[in-house]
Amino acid sequence: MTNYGFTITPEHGLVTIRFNGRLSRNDIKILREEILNNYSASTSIIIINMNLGEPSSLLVSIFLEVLDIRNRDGKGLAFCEMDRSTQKALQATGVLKYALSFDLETKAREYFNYDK
Amino acid sequence: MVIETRERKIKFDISFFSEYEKTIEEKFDDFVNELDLSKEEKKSILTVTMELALNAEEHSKTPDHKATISFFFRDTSFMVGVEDSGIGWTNESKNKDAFRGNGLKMVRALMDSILVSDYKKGLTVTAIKEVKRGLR
Repeated sequence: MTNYGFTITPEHGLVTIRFNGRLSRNDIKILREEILNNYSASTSIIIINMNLGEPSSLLVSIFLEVLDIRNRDGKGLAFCEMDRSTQKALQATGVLKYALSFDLETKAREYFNYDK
Repeated sequence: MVIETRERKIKFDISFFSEYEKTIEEKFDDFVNELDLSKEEKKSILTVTMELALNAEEHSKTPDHKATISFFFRDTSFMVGVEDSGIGWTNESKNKDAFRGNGLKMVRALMDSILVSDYKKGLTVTAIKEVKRGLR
């Protein structure tokens, strides 16, 4: 998926979501459908790389929905490569309370034994 | 004695029928061009401006589907204002969806103070951030 402001890369047992900047409202709608329909309840671990991502309450609402589904089933969700303002925004909205966070994507992959 | 204050301000309208995010981003980039702000400060202020605009779009029920954005900078204070002519701060405008309503939490986390006034028709939300450096 490359025509939107985000990319979703599924690998065996791992899904990585990366952003290409601020998402439009349409992008956020598509991202929500994509994650909720295909990945939120799957057994895959989800890593969200916020390197080029911009926090917004619309995005936060998707993260909380996904966390709600995944935490019920004890499945992994991790955030990585957040700058200070993204970290503050996600912390204030409670997202980071329920997810793992790593400074680098490689460290998140290593944590889940996907260090290839 | 004359005390020189250095300030910069801009005010513009956005329409909720348009892709107003682009307008905000362009006006913001132009506004901060002469300011010596860190990357984090810029990102925080722009994120907050987008959130306040989104809040106005979703909750104001303004008849003209518009809001007025203002940026004001003096010394080391950056002020963002979003004004609409909608229904103001009512119980009706509070979101019932448990996953929403995070905009204000984000604004509080990223800025130093927030003021909400609905003494006249509509709602004006003003958020202020103290930054490290001022005008170039």
